[in-house]
Amino acid sequence: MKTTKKASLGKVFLNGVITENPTFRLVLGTCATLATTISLINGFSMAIATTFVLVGSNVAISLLKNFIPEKVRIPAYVVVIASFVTIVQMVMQAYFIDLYNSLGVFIPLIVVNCIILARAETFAGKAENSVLASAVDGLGMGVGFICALSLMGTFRELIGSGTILGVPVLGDGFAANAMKFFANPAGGFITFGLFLATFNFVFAKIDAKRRNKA
Amino acid sequence: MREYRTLSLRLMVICLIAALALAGVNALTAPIIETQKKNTANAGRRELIPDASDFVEAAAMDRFTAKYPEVTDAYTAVDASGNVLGYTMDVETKGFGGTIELNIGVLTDGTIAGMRIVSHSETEGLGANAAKPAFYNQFTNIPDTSSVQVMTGASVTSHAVIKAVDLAQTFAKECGPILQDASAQVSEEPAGEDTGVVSGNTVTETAEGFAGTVTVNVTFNDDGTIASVTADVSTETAGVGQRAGEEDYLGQFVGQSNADGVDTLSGATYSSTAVKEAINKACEKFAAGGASSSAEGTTITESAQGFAGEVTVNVTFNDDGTIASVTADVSTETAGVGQRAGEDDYLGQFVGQSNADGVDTLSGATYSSTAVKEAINKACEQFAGN
Repeated sequence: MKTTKKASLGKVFLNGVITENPTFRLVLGTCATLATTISLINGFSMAIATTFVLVGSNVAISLLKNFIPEKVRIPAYVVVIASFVTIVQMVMQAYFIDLYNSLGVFIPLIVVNCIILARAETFAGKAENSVLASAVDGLGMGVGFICALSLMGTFRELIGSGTILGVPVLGDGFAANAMKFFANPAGGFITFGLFLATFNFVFAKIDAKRRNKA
Repeated sequence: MREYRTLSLRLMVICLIAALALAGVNALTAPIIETQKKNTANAGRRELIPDASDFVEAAAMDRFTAKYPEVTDAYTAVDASGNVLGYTMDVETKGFGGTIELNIGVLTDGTIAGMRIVSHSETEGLGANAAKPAFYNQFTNIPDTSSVQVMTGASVTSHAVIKAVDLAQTFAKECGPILQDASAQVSEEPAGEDTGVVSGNTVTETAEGFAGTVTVNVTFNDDGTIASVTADVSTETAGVGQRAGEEDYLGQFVGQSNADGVDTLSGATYSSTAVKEAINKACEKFAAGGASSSAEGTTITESAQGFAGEVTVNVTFNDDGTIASVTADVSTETAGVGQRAGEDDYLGQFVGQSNADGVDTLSGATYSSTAVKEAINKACEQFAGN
């Protein structure tokens, strides 16, 4: 019993990071993804904030799932999620003012990030999933989101500004003549498309291998 | 019914818990956010006075606006132990392209700590360079603005900034110590010294030019118009600013009653503005003390037969033969009718004329006003004959 539970928790976690990666597999929360990945630090901190809200709301909703009436579960979920987002917003404004300023309106917009409501609806609110499993699911999804946004943020900052975390790793010459296009919204769409294509290709290969084995 | 009560009650409980949680977090973060906001607002001021730990806004700022309308706000910079280090002033001044907003720091000993341009609409590439370190760093820790180099091609902007910094320095010296004391008042008289000298009809005045003080000697006619102007512009740039002291330029002021009608000299905006400013000051001074000097003009008394008796006029002439002022004794005429010909409303029409022909008689007082006109014409003839 104990071993199966452990294995299932690990599976739940990996499910969020890879199999159902919110950005590249489920294609959820793309608004925040495109808007904040102009640099690594912005994308990374956006994903950290989202992860906090994900884990928090998953745990809270899982705890409350027997209390929340079925008919008003969506309003109840939204209240819980909005509360966590507001907490994140206040904490960021108090302790990380630079990040708060650079992320701007996208912090309150975490409320409408589909991943969070989707996980509440499809995982945390389900009777068969324990509180711990919900927390792990939130964490797994969050880590998946962090990986995806960091990857896109790194790519766009490197190509678009010639820097990583503000350091001109490609030399000052490149930084001065960087392809600013990739830091722009249109560049964000193209980057997103490139990554989606790559991941789809890789997963298609893996699926084909599995099928051959079977 | 019962079901709906459960629904709403449970939703309410969730909202209540959420509100309580938020209130708790808010209580923790609100003071930090407040400090954070204050720090952001003070960041600009801290650039000017880096040692200050806090900036306290002046109490009752409107006390100073009458005397210093350009200073929109002022802060006292204090260090961690509460000692006053200096003051920062938000100043608005008129630049070349529009209003320039500056932030100026002055230490308690009067040293200019620094200057930053907050916003401006100066010409890109010229005046706009005032917002760049190469220019504003000149204002860091200097006793006064005399060491500041103006920017070539942007004299107006540079001087507007320098003037604003000078003003802030004056403000800090006078108002700084009483910034936090809402009951203290500033003295009302302007800070500038009275440099004007009046001798007879000639008034000497000074104004700040491009490189130094410009002195003008203005001689006035009795009516307050300018008879002649000489100027000492030796401090200005030879061949450029000094053109403002040449006869070609100064001649334009003759016959005017102030300097406003004459344009500044292109390429010598500062010097010519200073000349104009000094002339205007002289005009004001002359107008203020003008009552006594007008008596020195040529006055001729003449009389003519009116409706009921003799009407006497006193006509004062300018050197060029025009009438500077007229008074009339119409006491013999009918009160309220003929006597209107002796009132200023009517007599004022003759000022600037060289005879009385251009002024109409007064309807209802034809005889009296004709007598006044006749007497004035006699006086004019007599003045011309002299």
